[in-house]
Amino acid sequence: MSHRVRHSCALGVVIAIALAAFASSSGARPSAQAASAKSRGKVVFVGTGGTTQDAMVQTFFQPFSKKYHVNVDQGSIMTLALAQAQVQSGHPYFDVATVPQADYYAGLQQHLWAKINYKKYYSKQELRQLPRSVRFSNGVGNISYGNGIVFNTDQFPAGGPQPDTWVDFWNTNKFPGKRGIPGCAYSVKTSLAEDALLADGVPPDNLYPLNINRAINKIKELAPNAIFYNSSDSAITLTANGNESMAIAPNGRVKVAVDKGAPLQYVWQGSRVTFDMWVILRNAPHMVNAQKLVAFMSQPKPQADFAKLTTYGPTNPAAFNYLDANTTKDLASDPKIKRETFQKDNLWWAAHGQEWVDACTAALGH
Amino acid sequence: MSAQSPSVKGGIELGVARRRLRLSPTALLVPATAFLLVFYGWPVVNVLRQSLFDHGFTVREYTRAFEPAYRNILLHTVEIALSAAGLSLLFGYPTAYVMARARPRVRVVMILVVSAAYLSNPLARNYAWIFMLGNRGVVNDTLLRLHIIHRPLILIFNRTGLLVGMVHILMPTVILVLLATMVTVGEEPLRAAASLAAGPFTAFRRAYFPQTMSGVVAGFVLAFVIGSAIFTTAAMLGGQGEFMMSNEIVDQVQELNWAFAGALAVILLAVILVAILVVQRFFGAGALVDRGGVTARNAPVRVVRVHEGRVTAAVDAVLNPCWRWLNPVIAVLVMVYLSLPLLIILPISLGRSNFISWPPSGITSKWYRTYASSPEWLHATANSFEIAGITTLVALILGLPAALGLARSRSRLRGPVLAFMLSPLIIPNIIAAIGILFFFSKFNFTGNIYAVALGDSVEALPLATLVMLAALRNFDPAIERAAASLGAGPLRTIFKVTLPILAAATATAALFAFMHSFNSLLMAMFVGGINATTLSKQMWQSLDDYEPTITAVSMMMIGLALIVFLGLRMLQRRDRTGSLKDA
Repeated sequence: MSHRVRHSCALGVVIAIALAAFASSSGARPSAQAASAKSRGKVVFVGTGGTTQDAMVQTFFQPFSKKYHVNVDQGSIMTLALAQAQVQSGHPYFDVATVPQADYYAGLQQHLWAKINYKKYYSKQELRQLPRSVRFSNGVGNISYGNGIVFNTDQFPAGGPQPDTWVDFWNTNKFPGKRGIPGCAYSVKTSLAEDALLADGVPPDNLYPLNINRAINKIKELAPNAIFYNSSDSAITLTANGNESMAIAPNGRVKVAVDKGAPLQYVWQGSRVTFDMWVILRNAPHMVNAQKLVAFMSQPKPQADFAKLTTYGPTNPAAFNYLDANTTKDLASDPKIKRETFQKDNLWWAAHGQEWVDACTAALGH
Repeated sequence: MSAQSPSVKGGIELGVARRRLRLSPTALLVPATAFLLVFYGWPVVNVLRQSLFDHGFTVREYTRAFEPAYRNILLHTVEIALSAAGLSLLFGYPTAYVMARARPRVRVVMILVVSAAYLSNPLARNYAWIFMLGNRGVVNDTLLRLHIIHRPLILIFNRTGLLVGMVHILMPTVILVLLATMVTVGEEPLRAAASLAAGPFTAFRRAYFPQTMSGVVAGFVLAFVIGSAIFTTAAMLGGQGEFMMSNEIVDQVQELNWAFAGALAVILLAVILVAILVVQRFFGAGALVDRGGVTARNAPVRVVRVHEGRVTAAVDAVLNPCWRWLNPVIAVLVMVYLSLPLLIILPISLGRSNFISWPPSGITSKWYRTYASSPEWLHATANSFEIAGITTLVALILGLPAALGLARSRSRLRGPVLAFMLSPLIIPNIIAAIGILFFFSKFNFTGNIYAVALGDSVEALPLATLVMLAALRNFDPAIERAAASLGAGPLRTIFKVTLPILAAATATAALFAFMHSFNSLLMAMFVGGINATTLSKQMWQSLDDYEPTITAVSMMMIGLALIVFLGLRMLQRRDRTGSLKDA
């Protein structure tokens, strides 16, 4: 017995030492930014992580740190609930975040976002460049993107028929295979209802206010061939592997997969275009730096650099001065693409999102 | 059993020199209950009460929750969780039975397979099922090539696929809980029955099975409860209409619809608790805590009463001849089933493709190197181990007294306490995570590993308690009294008698607590802030670059676990030879 006790003690000590060694060898969290010698404080950003945020580090945060000597600490994962808990606590640990417009409006109702001080932090010229349509009272439009059809190019190779409208997406005879579509709640942030109506013959200009019943009936048609998702990344993986022949996905997410060799193609025709928002927490701990950072990220040059890396389009049209045709042909804010896509009406969704989710859940059980 | 005063029966004594402090078993429930009240009850009630108060008392959210759409989701949830738990038990029991009676070496291998299944990352596992069961998956491909079928079978994105994925998640839990119980039962009942010339199945049915009822109930209840809260798998493998309540609650929380999310969670909790109560009634003597507060061994009869008759005779007649080989066959099939996803995950992790794809081409160690050379991944790994280690400690230190208390107390409070302790497992994790986030945020206590570990303990503690409770139900307090009568002090009794006998159960409980924390995602996401990133959070985030790194990480963690496990075995063996020499 004494042996047993002694051994388990020894084992405990060994494990503890191993863990401690492991923890210390891996070191402290790597700082995403090069610390500046003459640092003037910091600002904390929370985003969605992954490749998109890596691009933000390169094109927004690092140049900002260099220019203002302010470190940008960053982490993930931003959710509305997190923002609300932080604001209510009275001493949040982060300042700036990026949110879809659905979350912007929901957060606005809960008074989560600070006012953007356009007067103080934007120059006259910057305000001339930045369209009013992306200058919200408590947030600034950041990146413009599409939600559209992605299809597997092994199944529908060039030369043969390739899907390019929502009618094709709904046509499982002409284009066989499963369809990846967002679940009811997730579709508020991506797209589905508008796509169904377009497939049903509603002209793009007459989409809003959406006819919820008509959209749901059209989705019911597709349901037997649909695989519902609540992360577009899984839909893209399944489409790349041929488990689905098509899916609805954001253009920038498709680009990441295509760059890795996935046999996918994104279709701009009929895409639902919108932009996300930079927001600052109401009681952000580094308010001045946060305002500076958001203003900096509205400038054309960093937006252009970000677009080159991600194919997420600038909200500041002056950014096109820094972009060549090869890049702009993949951007939602490109004039040619603008003509074949439609703008999401986020105000309609802010008012009717819950109604849609209830009706959709009742009909589809998702 | 000699008549004793109720206060002594099953009581725990803590003695310092000659002064003995007699602790009533009910008092043992206090630490765990207090912990849960502070770190779970209070924070969660604060979230849930929003469902009843909106400028005054209202039941509006509850009325909405009972609309057909949401009622259907609730029914689905219960139905799916019940069938997944039932299947896990049906196939898990024979497997555990074979494991309990197998030679040590075979048993170790089987435990390794079960643990490896338990350890593989849920996200990687879901992809593995899709690549295996999809219309272009391994199964359909093979069957088509062999001309057994002519068009692909629909095996996934429907109820079948969902159950395959869910049972795979739940079965290891059921098997390990059953095994922990079976080890305390031993072989004697079977030998005794065989000596009375009972057929092998009859012997099993009448002498062995009833002894394992506490494990059966605990395993089933755990599987049911965990199954009812599963959401990633339901979202990825289920088809239209296979939406689970936890999916719905997560969606509602994301939109800050606290009131409605709270109403749904309260209803889910109520329904699951009622279902467990029904199960308890049905199993009678095997109930987790029995009515009237008679401890297990003191109860005159602790057998499920089955009316012997034509039906049992017929079942005996069918099963007696094939009983000896039926169990091993099931056990082998279960082992194969449990290792299937690994047969997909491993090749992907070695494949050259830059995105997760099947079938893999070429072979490379790139994804393992990506992991090993990334400070983020390594840091997340260290965080995960520290958090899971702390969680395990908390769960064991608070869980063991709680299990002793639940098993031995005669108080009427036991039922409510058990229900309360089960509730963190039922209420979707996101509600607890949010509650704790709001609670800790008030004290500026988020964004560190201790906060995450405390949050993880909220679920790990009930898990550990339940496992130990199941084993304690088969533990005879008379042994402790015997030790005491031989002069062993109370603490000495616990450390030298109680704990070693409960070693298997304690180890299982520790494994559950550790794994729960290791795999938990939402607590790290909400409470961990930007500093305490865990491995599962890192995996979840890195899904977005489509690279196979997560499969490599998944394999590395399994490898690491196997090494630790084998190391422990070797120490144990040296230990045993050591004590033999002592003797």
